[in-house]
Amino acid sequence: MSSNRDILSKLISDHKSKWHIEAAQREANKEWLDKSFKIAIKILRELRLQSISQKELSERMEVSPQYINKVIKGKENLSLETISKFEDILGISLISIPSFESSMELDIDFAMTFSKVDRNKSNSIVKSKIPEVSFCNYSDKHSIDTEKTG
Amino acid sequence: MEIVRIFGDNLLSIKYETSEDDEFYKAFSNWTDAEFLENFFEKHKSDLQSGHWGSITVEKAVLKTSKVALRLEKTFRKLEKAKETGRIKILQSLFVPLNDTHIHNEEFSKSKVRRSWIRLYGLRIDASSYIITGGTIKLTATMNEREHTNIELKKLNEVKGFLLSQGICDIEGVTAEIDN
Repeated sequence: MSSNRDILSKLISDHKSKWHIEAAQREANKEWLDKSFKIAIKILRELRLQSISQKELSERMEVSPQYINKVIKGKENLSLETISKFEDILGISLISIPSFESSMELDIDFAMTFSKVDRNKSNSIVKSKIPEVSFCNYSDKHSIDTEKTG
Repeated sequence: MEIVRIFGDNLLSIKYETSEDDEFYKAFSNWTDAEFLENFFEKHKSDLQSGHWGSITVEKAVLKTSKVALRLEKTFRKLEKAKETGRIKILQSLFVPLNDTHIHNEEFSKSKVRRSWIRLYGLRIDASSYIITGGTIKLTATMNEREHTNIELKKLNEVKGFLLSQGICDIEGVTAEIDN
């Protein structure tokens, strides 16, 4: 009498599952796929809210419906140009860049008032907001690493 | 229906005639597809806010599904590369028997310490072989409450019937659970 495993072996087909390939791609591209997925959710919710069909969006974007479908599945590596176009057409913000303007303003304010306030006190305030900032002269302040100040 | 190999003789999946792809592939493909998930949760919005998982927005549910699915997928990718003895041990702990209490008994489901947001369903053929019959997102306490979980039960029974007709016996329904 054949065992379960013997019978099972005969029943297994030659068909290859696509899981291995797609799982490997999801793992290799996980950083940008995560961002693409979050953008897709925002687009999908906005399409529902504004009652816009995928077809209508593809016409307004001047791209194919297949491309829109890939975007809303969260599987497209979007360019900044495309993201901006989506933002413009849907009237929403999809991504934001950590602002450096506020720290620059703080820096300029500081430069203007530096001579008027207590040096130690102002140093402690600025250090908490802008690490590694140089107070030598104004031009140096424009080379601040924006990532550290965001 | 066809039986497709995922890895070794340990993890297999059903491919139904009506579908181009096997159920294991489809589960992970759907769970990482923002469009599929947004539609699914919009359709089951009342279940999302019914209290089984607390009250959760569609956006958060979509993100949660993808996150949990990718974690489960990572486990399977590690298993694929593991040696058979270690692989079998982990598969045995991952898949728990699916019995009547999962299907009908709400109190049992509620009392379970380990509750899983996404579920893979399948059949255990022997101590080391599992066949995936489908997967879904479980928003209610028991399986027989909603159409999408009921469909999974039907698929499970259909495959069980097919395997029995081929001479395979001692088949047990199982579900893979992952902590959220």
